[in-house]
Amino acid sequence: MIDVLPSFKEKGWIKLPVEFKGIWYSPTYGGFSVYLRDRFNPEFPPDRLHEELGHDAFLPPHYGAKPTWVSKEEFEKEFGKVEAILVWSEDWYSNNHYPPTDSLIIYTEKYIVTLVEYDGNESFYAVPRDWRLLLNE
Amino acid sequence: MSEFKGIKWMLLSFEFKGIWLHAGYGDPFTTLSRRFDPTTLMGEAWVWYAREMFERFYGKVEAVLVDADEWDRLIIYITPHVLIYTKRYVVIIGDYDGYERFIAVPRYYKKLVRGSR
Repeated sequence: MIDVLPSFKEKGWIKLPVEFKGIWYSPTYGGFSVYLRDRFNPEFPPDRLHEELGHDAFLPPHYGAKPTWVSKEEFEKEFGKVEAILVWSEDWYSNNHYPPTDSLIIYTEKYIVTLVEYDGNESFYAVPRDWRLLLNE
Repeated sequence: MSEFKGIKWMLLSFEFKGIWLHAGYGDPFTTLSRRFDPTTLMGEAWVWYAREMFERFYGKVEAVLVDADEWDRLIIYITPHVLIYTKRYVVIIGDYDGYERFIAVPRYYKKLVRGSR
């Protein structure tokens, strides 16, 4: 049946509790283990959780995922000035190391940017708030 | 980095009656145009979501945009380039562990945060 992913229900959102400096995502398929709060942490060593969680030492961290840091400057160059970032509070404060990609929404002046996964590859979906803009681009 | 940039969007050229979604695990293989045609025979993994049902969940449909270049192209295993704007959401088709599903992104954020105006 139709379902809206839980994080898009209209409750449980909080504004990003930290300064937005950038975000981690993985454009390639793999087991990218990351806490939601660490997605926004430039100091987060991408291999840390692999070690913490005791994953099979014979498998490389993330199994093919390539955690990639996108700085605020790069992000704004692509999508425009960031106006607000919302995160799903349950995932922010939990130790869920594989939160759904849609636990965050980034609103810029023109776009609503979400992080989604298709066939294991993460990418940013930037959709204009006003569909009329799409026809003029 | 962004899935939806650089696409030549066009408004759906006919009335939106509903949309097919590939609800089973596997490789969806179809065209965008077939996704909007209720008379097309699709495999058993496909589910038809009639407009009435869609609007019950997401609100009245304001506009449906599709990728003009991919309208009649057979596509396998990529994100369908479809945006459905309702009054409150932009609905896209995403994937969760191999299954297609709707993702409804709120267009406005102020009311989403408790205590905000």
